[in-house]
Amino acid sequence: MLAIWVRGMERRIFDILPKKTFGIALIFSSVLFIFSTLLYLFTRTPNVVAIIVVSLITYTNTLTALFVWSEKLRRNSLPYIVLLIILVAVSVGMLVFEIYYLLARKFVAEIVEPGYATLGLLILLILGYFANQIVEKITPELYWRVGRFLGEDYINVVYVSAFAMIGPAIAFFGVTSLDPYMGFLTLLIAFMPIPGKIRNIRMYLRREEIAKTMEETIRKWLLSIPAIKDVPEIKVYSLGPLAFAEFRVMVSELIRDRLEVLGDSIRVPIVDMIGNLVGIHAYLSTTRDTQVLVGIPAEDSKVSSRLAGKCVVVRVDLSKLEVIGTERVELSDLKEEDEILRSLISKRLDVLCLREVDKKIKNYLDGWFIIPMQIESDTVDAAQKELIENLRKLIE
Amino acid sequence: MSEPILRVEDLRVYFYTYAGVVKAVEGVSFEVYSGEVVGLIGETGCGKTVTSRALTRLIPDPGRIEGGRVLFRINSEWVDLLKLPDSELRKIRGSLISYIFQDPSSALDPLYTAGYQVAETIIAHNKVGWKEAWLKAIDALRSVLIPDPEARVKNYPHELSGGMKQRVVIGTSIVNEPKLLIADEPTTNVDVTIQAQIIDLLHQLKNLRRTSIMLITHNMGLIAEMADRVAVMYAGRIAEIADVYTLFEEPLHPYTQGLIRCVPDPTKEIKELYPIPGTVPDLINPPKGCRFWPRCSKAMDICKREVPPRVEVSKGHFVECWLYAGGGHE
Amino acid sequence: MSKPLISVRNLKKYFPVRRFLFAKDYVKAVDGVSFDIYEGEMFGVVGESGCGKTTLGRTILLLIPPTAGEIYYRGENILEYDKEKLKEFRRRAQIVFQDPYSSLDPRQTIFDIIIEGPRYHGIDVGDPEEFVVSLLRKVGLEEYHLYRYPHEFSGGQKQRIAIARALAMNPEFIVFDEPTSALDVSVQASILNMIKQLQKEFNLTGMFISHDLAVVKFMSRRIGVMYVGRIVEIGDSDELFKEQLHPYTRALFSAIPIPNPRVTRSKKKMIVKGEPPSPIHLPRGCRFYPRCPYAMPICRTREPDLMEIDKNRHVACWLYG
Repeated sequence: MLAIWVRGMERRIFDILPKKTFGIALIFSSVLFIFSTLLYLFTRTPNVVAIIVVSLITYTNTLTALFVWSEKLRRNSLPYIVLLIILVAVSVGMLVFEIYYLLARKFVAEIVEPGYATLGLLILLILGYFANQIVEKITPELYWRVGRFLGEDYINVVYVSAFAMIGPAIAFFGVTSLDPYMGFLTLLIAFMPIPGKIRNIRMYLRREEIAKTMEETIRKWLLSIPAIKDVPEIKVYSLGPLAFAEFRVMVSELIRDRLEVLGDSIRVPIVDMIGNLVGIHAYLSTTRDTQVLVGIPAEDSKVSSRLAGKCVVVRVDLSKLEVIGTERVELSDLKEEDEILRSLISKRLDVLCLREVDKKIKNYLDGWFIIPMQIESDTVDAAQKELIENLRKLIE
Repeated sequence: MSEPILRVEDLRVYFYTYAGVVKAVEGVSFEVYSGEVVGLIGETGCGKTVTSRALTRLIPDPGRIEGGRVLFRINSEWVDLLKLPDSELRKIRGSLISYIFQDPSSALDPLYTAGYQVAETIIAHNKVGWKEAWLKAIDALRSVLIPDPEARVKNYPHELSGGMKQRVVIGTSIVNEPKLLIADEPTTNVDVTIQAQIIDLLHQLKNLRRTSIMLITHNMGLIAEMADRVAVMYAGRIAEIADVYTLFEEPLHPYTQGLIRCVPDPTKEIKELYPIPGTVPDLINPPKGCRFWPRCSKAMDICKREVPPRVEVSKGHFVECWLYAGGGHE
Repeated sequence: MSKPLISVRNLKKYFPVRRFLFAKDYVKAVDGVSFDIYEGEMFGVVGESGCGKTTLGRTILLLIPPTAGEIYYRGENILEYDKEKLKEFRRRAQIVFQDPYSSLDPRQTIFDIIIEGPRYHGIDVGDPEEFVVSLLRKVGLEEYHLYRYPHEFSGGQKQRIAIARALAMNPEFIVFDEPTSALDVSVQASILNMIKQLQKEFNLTGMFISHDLAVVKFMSRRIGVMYVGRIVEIGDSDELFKEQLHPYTRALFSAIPIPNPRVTRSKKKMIVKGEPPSPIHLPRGCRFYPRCPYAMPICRTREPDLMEIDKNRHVACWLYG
């Protein structure tokens, strides 16, 4: 989803993970939590404690995503870390307490309503499965990894419920002596996701490091596009396992009509590069205060009629519309069309002057946000004057 | 100046089966020069694969090499491979003469890593330790343009794609610097774009290391692309030998002419293909005289009675056909 | 210009592959394919192994149920056909498989194999023996072959029998799935000639699938090029060989060795690096992007659909749209 605001010469491109995904994940977690608590109160089966703990843990990822997504909350992440610690502490506390309880009573069976316990655990299992499937499916295609991530805790609910069912199921058929031991095992299994969550807390403490690496990756990618002149600001918020990116890029005024397309082209690969991104806020600012490189295919002082290997590159100050310098450049010694085109990119041209614009070359230039400029002149000097005029027209 | 490294003279290979004696190779003679690619083409059952295996006596039961000489040049001396003791021959096979077969998946053992298999070949023929062999293996993989060879040596065959596997096989074959590389349908099971990469690779091998390559295939396009000289086989005999341009532009033997005409050339507008009438002969009871005469539109009386001799029509261009042997009448 | 006999729109065939307990992955063998086949023409489909062309051939005839998309026969969506109409479609659309050794039942005589189809559909063929014999003659076989078994025939002859079997149904449309790839060149030549001639005689429409470009060009009037489940270019055979637009088509055509040494050694080879992506984990955007020498940022972001460039030329590439 793309929301675009225009303010002066600036466009903002937002990526928003819809509230629907969070909302539904929160609802599922709450249903699981409430249902398992009621089930425990009704049946007093220690296995069900395991499920309460696991359903508590399912909150952690959703809460993380919520915090990262919120503009205010991600800047100050102390509330997040506190919440996370509370959740983990309560979970660990419940587990330890229940294990102690079992040991203290020397594994004597005290199960009420094993039939209902089994049934309840089965319902929890099914709920967990659906929670996982639904959350993954309603996450927008661009962020499927986040969907998986949000949904993965529900798989724990499924596994632990399945395992937990064994105890009460045996007890239901009369063999009550085994259940407390099964309960013990289930509680141990419920421990499994907790070290991962503790790792998340530690990751938070390392957030600066992690964020810096991601910032570098994004910056490198942005600067690989010649149209992007500079990345004056970039900040990645890393919150536990999720991240959010904010950045501003400077482009020349020449492409001010194509900012949406540029935004589209840059944001998708970023999400692919950094899988745990929940969203991007990108600001594209146009400026005249920059230099642009204009290529004129030319053999000596005559303009070539077609795009060939030799080229004159003119450096122009866009604010003053003055030529600062010229350079003779060999675009490619192999003379293959695709090699020549790729070298336009590596030379970071902003504009290419052509006598005749072939459709395929035009599409390629457009695809890389290089402006194809049709010129009539046949000498390099005349072409320089013509291109300045054309640039003036473009900016006005 | 190119000099001959292999001379095959009147090779005969028969298979003694329950149905009878299959005369798979019946008097085949040709030469291979250093640094050249010799193509051996023919259709199913023509004997090209058997010929290539016979060069190093890789003929399984019930086959037997019944005659001829296979002279191979080792250190300026000619050695008859058919008369060499087994132990000596084993030293040559895998080092001076090595093979690449059609299906890379079956040439590689799935239980061992790529690096292990290359290193194993090195150790079998050289007095080096495992460490050195391993390093050489990495080099060999690099020379066949496998990217990131240090990592690939540790891969098992199933972790590699078809093109990679074929390269590993080629790597195994060239690591001991063979003088002669026998490639039997090396690109048949491989995709076209990968085939192009392998052709490129073989070209480099030929140019850089002066390795001779014997290319066995039924793919006319591959021959046109790679071969310097071509030998056409039919029913166990050689019909024609010529350089590749001559073969495609001025084929003399009626069978060669038929082959060239029945392969569609996409650069031309073709309305109809010209198949060769009839079928390949039974090699247990092959036709008397020239084995091609039942399918030949130009067959004469003498073709049905006597085997045509080999005639050198122009320099390097040999044909076994009565049309050019000056015998018989129209 | 005749109307399309068969129209395919956004056809997909995914094969599920189990990952672990709940997760499922899909092999996207055919991933959104659209094209038309006009009455009386032979439409060629080329591509490398794994591109999905064989799956495409079978899905069009509903030998495999499609995952999504539409298949139109004479303007009607065959996926909405009732049993009666489906049976009729199955009679009119036949297939000839690649492997002659496994597509003929070894326990049936040739007569049985050929007459089986018409019998099942209740088609009146007059005197069955005469009917089958006339078909055998049409494919270059003889009357005395009637009561022989498949193992008594060579590969080429088996393919002729397979073609006769398809013709017995008096079809309108035949899919040829690599019919000559397992045969020797000289046998291939005669089978190809025969197919062409039969096509004219019976006014057949056909789809010719092969990895051999030269053969496809010889057989087809128009060709579609497939790459990992999608069609990337469609054009007239002659025009396509003169000029390829899609970078993959260019690479494919330049890589094919031509059986003509002067031509093939002088032509420029576009060596494409890397390998095709896995059809399970397809990257976002154009699937040729990682190997394409003309890659642009948008290619990584969005997958191009087939666009009509010229009359009779369609390309799926951002360079042309």
